[in-house]
Amino acid sequence: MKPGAQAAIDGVLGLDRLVHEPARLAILTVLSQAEFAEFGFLEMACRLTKGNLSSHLSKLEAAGLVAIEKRFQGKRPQTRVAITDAGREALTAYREQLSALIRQVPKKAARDG
Amino acid sequence: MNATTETLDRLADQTARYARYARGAGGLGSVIGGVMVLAAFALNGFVDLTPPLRGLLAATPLLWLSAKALLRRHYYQAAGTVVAQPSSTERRTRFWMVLLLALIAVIVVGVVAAAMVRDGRAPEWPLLGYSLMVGIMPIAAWRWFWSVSDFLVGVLLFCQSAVVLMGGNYPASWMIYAAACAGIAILYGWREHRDYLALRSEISRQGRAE
Repeated sequence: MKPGAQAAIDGVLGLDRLVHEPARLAILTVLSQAEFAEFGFLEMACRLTKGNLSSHLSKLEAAGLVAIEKRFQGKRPQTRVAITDAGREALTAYREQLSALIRQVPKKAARDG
Repeated sequence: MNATTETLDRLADQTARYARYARGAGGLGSVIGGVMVLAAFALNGFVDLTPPLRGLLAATPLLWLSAKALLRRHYYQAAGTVVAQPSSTERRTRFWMVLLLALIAVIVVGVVAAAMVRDGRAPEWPLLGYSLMVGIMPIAAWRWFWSVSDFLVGVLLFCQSAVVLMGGNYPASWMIYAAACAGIAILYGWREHRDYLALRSEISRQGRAE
């Protein structure tokens, strides 16, 4: 195997898998643009079902990447989600890794698929 | 991978644009505020104010803030609240604006109180209403004013409300300044509303494509 290809594979394997999952990546990306977002918006923006979104949020919360606050506005339950500093760092690191990987892929290889 | 980063960039951009409507972008709220300023100052300057009309003019800040809140909750952010993170410049500018309003409010209320003490007068309702409205203004600004349009519209509505409560009215000469401020708020508000419509159709187009 060529050294470049080996480095690319190592790079892919080195990606943070918690962040790399597309739904969780979308959630973190949305949250990175706001002080907080309500559950309903995340559901719409990330195109996830309630159950799916809950499950991904629980994983992100367990890893300390997001903070979840449940409260009532009148009689309406409201779930607010915010990205933590650790979450912001993890997302930035992931995006940097991804950009570096894209730069490593030789143009010819990318064209040939 | 390129497709992924492009999708993420688009998602981030759409979220940031949507989040503006929680605070900074008033949209139709600014348009309504601008129209209210025009109407309030026209009534102040050109119409004899009857007690019901005075009551209506005194309530304009409350009506405007309610309209803004309803529009945000049930129209602009109907899909769920997303609050934008203000930049440090925005935070600083807003802090100084609110501080300036608070200083002005303290000076005005202080002068009124000093005059009452000097004249040995008991507090009267019209003056109390005036002082209350001036005192509330910086608190309302701290809580609800986020953009230049908010400050232009909000300060004018609160000031005319205070003067009307005291039994006075703004002269017609104020109309030019009020119209200029209202024009800015209406122009910016309408532009923000059009941006929102573009964002909404972009999101729904994307939803259909998927």
